[in-house]
Amino acid sequence: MLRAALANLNHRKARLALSSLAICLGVAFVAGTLVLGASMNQAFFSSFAAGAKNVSAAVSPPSPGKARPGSSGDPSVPASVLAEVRSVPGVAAAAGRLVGQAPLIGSNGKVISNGEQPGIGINIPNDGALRGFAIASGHLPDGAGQVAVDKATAADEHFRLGQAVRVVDHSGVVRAFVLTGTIDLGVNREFGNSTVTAFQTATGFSVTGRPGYDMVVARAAPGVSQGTLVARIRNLPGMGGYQVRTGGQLATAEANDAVHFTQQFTTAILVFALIALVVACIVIYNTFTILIAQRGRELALLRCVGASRRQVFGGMLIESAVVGLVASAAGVLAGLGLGWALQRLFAAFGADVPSGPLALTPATVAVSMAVGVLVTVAASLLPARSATRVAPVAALGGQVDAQVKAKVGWLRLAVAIVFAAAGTVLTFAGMRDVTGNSGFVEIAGGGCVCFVAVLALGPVIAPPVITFFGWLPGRLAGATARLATANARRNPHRVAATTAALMIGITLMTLFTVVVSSAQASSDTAIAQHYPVDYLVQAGRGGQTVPPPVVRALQASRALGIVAPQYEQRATANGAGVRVGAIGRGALGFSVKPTIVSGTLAAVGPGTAGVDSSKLTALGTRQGGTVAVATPGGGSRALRVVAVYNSAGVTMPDVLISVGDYLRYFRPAGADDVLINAAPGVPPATSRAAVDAATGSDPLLVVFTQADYKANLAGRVNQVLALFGTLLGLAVLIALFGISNTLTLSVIERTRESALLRALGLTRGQLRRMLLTEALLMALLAVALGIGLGAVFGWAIVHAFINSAGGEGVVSIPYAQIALYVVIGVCAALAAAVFPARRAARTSVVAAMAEA
Amino acid sequence: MQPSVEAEDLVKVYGAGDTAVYALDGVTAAFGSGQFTAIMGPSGSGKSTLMHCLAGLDTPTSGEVRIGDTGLSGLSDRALTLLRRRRVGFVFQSFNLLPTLTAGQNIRLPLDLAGRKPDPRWENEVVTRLNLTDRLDHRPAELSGGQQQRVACARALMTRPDVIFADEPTGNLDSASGAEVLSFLRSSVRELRQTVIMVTHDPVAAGYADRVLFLADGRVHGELHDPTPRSVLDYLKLAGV
Ligand SMILES: Nc1ncnc2c1ncn2[C@@H]1O[C@H](COP(=O)(O)OP(=O)(O)O)[C@@H](O)[C@H]1O
Ligand SMILES: [Mg+2]
Repeated sequence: MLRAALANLNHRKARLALSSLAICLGVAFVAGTLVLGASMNQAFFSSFAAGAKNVSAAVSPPSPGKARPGSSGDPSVPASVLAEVRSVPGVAAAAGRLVGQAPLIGSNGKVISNGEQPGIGINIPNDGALRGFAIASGHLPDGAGQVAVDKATAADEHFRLGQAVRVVDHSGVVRAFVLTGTIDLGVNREFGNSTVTAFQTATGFSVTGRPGYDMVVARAAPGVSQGTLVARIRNLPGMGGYQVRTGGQLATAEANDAVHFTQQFTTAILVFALIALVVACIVIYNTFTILIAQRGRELALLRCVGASRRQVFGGMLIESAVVGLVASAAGVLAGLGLGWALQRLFAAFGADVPSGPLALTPATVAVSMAVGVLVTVAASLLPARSATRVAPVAALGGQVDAQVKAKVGWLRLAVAIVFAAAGTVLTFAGMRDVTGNSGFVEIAGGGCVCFVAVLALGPVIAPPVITFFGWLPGRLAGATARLATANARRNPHRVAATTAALMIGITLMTLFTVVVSSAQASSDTAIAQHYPVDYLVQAGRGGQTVPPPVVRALQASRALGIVAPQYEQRATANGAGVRVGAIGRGALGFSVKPTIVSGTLAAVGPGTAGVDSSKLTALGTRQGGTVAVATPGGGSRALRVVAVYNSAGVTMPDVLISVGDYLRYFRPAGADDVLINAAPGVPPATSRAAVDAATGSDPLLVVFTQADYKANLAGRVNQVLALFGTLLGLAVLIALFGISNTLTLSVIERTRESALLRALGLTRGQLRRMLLTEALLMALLAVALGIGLGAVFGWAIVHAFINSAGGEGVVSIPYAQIALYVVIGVCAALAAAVFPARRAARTSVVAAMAEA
Repeated sequence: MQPSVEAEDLVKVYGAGDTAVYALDGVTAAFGSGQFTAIMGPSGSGKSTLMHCLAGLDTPTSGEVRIGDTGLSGLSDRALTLLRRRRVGFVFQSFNLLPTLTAGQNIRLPLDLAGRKPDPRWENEVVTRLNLTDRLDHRPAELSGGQQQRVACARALMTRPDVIFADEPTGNLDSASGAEVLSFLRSSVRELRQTVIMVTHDPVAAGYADRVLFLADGRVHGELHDPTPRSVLDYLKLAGV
């Protein structure tokens, strides 16, 4: 009796520890994800509070140019407005902000072009409080010949303070400046990945060639409200056309812009928080369901000795609430640590995520605590209710452990089938739907609905799947594996709930991998199919061109095969605004391959033109008709339409004319870019050397290669994969903890059975192997269902992409990566079984038999 | 008669110092091959402890146990496990069968664990003797208490062990089912030359045995040969235990 009591106490301690740990980890996961999300949001907003920091009023041009900061057509705010604003009573200080193009030449002597964005130049407002950036090192320029560079670029290019750096000014002249310091722009999305150079205001104007400021900002004197100041500025004469906003409005507007840029990331974080929530709920709920099932006898005994159902219930409520509360509080603290670790991790992956102080918002605490406590209480009370409903004496006598078959209710079955059908229909509808994003929303919805169906069907699916996977081990390892198979399928509800969490993780990982790898494969084939150029030469500054001598030098090289300059500009044709362009001979139908609707592109020559099929209506023409192109000289040239093409997936002008006609009509300074293919049989190194030789003298020219482009893309894809993989990996980790927890509880529950097996001649090693096999089978169940679901819905999403891209793209299933997930899932499940297996093997046979 | 199981000066102490409990306090006994021995004694007299030590489930504090010509002291856990698997059969009072296995699978379990194939003729003989032929595909939950104990007996016999240990095998049964199990144990001794050692506190059950060994306070108190329920009761009354 003493032995039994002691052993029971021991088990209760173990159970309490396991359940607390389950709650703690689940809550930590939720809290960690929320903390991370909130921290990033806060960092974004505070960075824009920095952009609009100290600003009481801001004056912008009538319609602020959104497309490209500083492009020549942008309206601006003249310096006279700045002077007027300064004179307004209540203005403590005012400053003009300038943003324009200023391509920076890197250490390799070429313009630094990050994703084709030319470098940006800004001025340094003389009022320190009204600057939108911080000094990272050195000091700001105090002379015309000085410059400061953003710290990321300075680090990438290994610039040292005091050295000369070169910038291309608006007239294409290369000018040298002394680098005096680096600046920190935070996560200012306005400049994207571009290099940023900061000059004294006068120098800034002369480099960028901007006619005026992009914004004039003012700081109010103490006691003057933002509203008052804005009203006074609006009343200035001649302010009619300008947009005048308060600092608060500016901050909100800019933050909204930023959130738009980072919308995907914030959404992703939210989705992960949701996943965390679901996984945590499953783990906590499952643990408690098992615990209460095991305590069924104890509850029945209480009822036998006279406790009313309400008393038993109340006791459970208080107990679970206390455990839930304490463990959840610990979980929130652990979540704070987790959020911190995630932030470090993202930084390590080089993800462009703002890092600021960790944000533990009341909402995070409330949600996390609520999840922990509510799920714990619900998970305790539901089974307790059914336990107390049984007549006390019956519950006492029953063997807790004998359940072998699951009773799957008809209701559950019916709901599952309806859900599965609805999910499938929704998914198929989503694949067909090509209007905007709604297709993806439908597929995501369909996926969730199908997932619920699979969860509901889990107890039905689990036993046959486990039998299937258990067949081979049973053949190889004999009795232990057969016992493990029988154990794994003995309680289908439990095994289904236990593996659900892992299944979620594996499903999402697979889905994500399929989508990303298909996107990569699609863009690879798209690049190869429609744009099979080896090199692309471009001017590193918007509005600049590739000079004709460079084009001629490229064409003269024997190492290069097709060298096709491309020209394009906006013009009026048949009264409609279109893009008129020309593509050098050889490239058409080879490097640039649109789908031909009628006629032939080879026929495009002097006096003839090709037209994009989507513009036929706007131009009011057809094959064999004419287009009249207005030329800058004032005349108009009528061209006969000899080809109609579909430019889906290809970069083509709306109206294609011959190079000769283009040069005569528009007289461009040079080509917009040049498409180059190496001559047949020439090794890449030789052709690259030829391209470099022809372009080398001009620092403004940038050479892109397909290899660079692919590597860049692959790099970005891998970074994204690593990021999402980490978050999903966490979900998998929690799920594995759930498996470990269930196994440990099962081991406790089956103590008597293990003792019997040991008495009958099961060695410790066999007992351990039996539990490892059981974990293996559970993992295989989760991995098989997860990979199946993930692959199917990944495929559906890719098809939706393909459909919305007009049939462009391929589905790629990354088998190696998926095989890796199987291996990871299996190894992790084995690791999860180590602790319970050791615990089971350690127990002495006699002590275990003394329990009942 | 050649002894199948021997115990020599077995001592088993639980705890230490003032709170030490001598569950066995110098037990020396021999159990003949092909003999049916019952062990009796009041609750707490050390019956279960003795059985566990004899069967290699527990290790005594001192003293030696031999099964056949194998001494158990110094054997590793693994060696003890293999010995139990091959040479010892068990029938416990309750929780004898694995709920996930059918009766037939439970019967073959020790052979399965050893990776051996059952001898079909022997299996058939055992199953027929225990009248289980049409119950082999049932799970324990679908069997009565008596049927469950008969399955346990069949399992114990399957490996033709050197000795079968039975710990209160009829403790949870009605008298009719109990009588069935006891007759089977006796017939397996008489007809199949099995050795059976049974712990019981029931004089009627002890009456099936060839010999009764009485324990009190962890010591051998005495023994009876060819007992009847009557003679056992008389002994217990006389001994005042
Ligand atoms: N694990 C243990 N720890 C402490 N005392 C024990 C333990 N196992 C048995 N005992 C004690 O040893 C004595 C003999 O027990 P047991 O062999 O179970 O008696 P029986 O089976 O004859 O009723 C009892 O006093 C019991 O309390
Ligand atoms: Mg006992």
